[in-house]
Amino acid sequence: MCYSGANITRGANRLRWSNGAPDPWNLNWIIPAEGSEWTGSVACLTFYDSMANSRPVRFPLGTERVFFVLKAPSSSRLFPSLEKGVILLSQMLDVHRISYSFQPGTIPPVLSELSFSLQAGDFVSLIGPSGAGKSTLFKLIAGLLEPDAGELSLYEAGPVPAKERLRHIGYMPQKDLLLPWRTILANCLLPGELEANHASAYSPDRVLALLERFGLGTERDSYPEELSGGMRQRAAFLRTVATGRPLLLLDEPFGALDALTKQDMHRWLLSLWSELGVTVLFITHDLEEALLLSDRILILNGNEGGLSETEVPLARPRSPDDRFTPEFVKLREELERRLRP
Amino acid sequence: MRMRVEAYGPFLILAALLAAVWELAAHLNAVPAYILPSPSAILRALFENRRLLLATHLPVTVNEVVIGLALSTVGGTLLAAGMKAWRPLERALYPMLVISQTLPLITLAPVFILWFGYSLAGKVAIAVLTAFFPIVVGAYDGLSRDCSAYVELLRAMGATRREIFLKVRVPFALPAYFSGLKLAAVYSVVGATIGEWLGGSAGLGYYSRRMSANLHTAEMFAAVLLLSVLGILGFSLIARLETKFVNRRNLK
Repeated sequence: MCYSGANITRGANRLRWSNGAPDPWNLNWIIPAEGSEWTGSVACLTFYDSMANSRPVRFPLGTERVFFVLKAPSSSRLFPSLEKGVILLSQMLDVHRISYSFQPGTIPPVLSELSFSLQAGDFVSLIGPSGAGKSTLFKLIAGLLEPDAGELSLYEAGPVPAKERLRHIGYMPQKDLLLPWRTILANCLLPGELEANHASAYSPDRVLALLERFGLGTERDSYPEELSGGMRQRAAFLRTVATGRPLLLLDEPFGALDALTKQDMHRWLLSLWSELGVTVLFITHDLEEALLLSDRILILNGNEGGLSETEVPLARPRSPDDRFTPEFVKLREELERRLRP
Repeated sequence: MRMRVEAYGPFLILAALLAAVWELAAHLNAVPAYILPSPSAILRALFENRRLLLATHLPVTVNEVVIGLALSTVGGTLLAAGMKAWRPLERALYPMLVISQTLPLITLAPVFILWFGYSLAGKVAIAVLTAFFPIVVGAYDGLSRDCSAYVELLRAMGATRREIFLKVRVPFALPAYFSGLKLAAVYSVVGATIGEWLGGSAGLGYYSRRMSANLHTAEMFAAVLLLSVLGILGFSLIARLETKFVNRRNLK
């Protein structure tokens, strides 16, 4: 669910749906006249919902891709004023100088004073040696843990406590963790059954449509044990997407797959990625995977080495065959050098 | 049908063989009939006393078993859930539960009769004492199964404690819970019989004690046969429920 290809200008804008189809919501976007409602680099737009209700929404000028959250829960602390409508965000996550130790005071912290941020539509990989704290960082962001120091801001709504983060970020752990007694369809409908997701989760119809899109349409009534590893990972990924949360944390989703299945998954994800309209933070050990999928790569060095960041200057669309281009090989070499202390 | 034959065939053959040997031994007068009556004599006794057995004594026992099992199920399940929810309760009660099972039931039963009287309550109390333990242990062990990864996943989806309990912990607990329940279904019949045996004026346990005292061994065996069938029925009823609620769960 993303709009793309539209460079936002002043005046009336008609946005195009990412795959070239007409805008399914038929929204009118009107940029107000200069000076009327500008706040810095962010324009205030008015979203007309059947021409009756209008609500101001914000989003940055000049963006090529626009991502939004539909139907934010009215009870949410994050979007208190919004009952129905669209929010357009530019910054999805801001991690500001967070530190964490398993036993504060006695053993040195796993993570100390880390900062980075994710923009809407980013696909960012997190790499680093084992034990550097990648999974811990994920649990902190997801809200399963609270940092000892520092702040985590979500969706431009300021710092958000762990309990609240749990309701707003999609988290996919390393193992697929599909419930063995539920069919694939029932597993993917699980997020929608939880009260916290009633407003955001995909409807059963959309889950069914997505199952087709994920190549799991014929397997919807199968049980997880009957599926191959690749299919189970896809189902687990679908379940994460079906939470309807705009920011997804994927912890080595393809780590347990063999090289060929992994390539299939890459090809599949690259073809699908632009229509999901989600922002992804992705843990991997595989440098090629990181380069192939991401816009940026965060390198987490253990032993308080901190975090460094590198852009991936490869054009999209990409394909797994790009791995053999000289440009790619050079990037891979550079990355490997940076990982070696 | 073929599956049925494959599943129960060996058992049926063995049972028929044993019955045949037994029948033969009885006819050769190897053992006096008042010590071990022949299977045909037992069946004849069952048929001749069918009104008394099925209309008078069986309903009494069934009543005790059903009430005892129902009380044990409700109480045992709640207790196990409470123990899992609150650690101090677990620490206080678990040893008690184990101790309750080390007490020899047969010596305890007369005391129970003394406390609860010769009425229904006494037998139900003994049935509960026997059936309670497997249910609590089954539910407790089931709820103790490690599913922390799933719990974490559900937490990250924003699930409440209640939702996590219902959607993850309970389904994970069901196989162990049903094992306990199946045992309890059988044990409650045993418990009710002991209660009747020691102090009752009706029921299959009472009937079998009276018959054995009068050396009407065939009649006693007829009652025992009915009690055994009752236990089997209870067991298979629970097993039926299990296949309905537990699909593929035991695989993981």
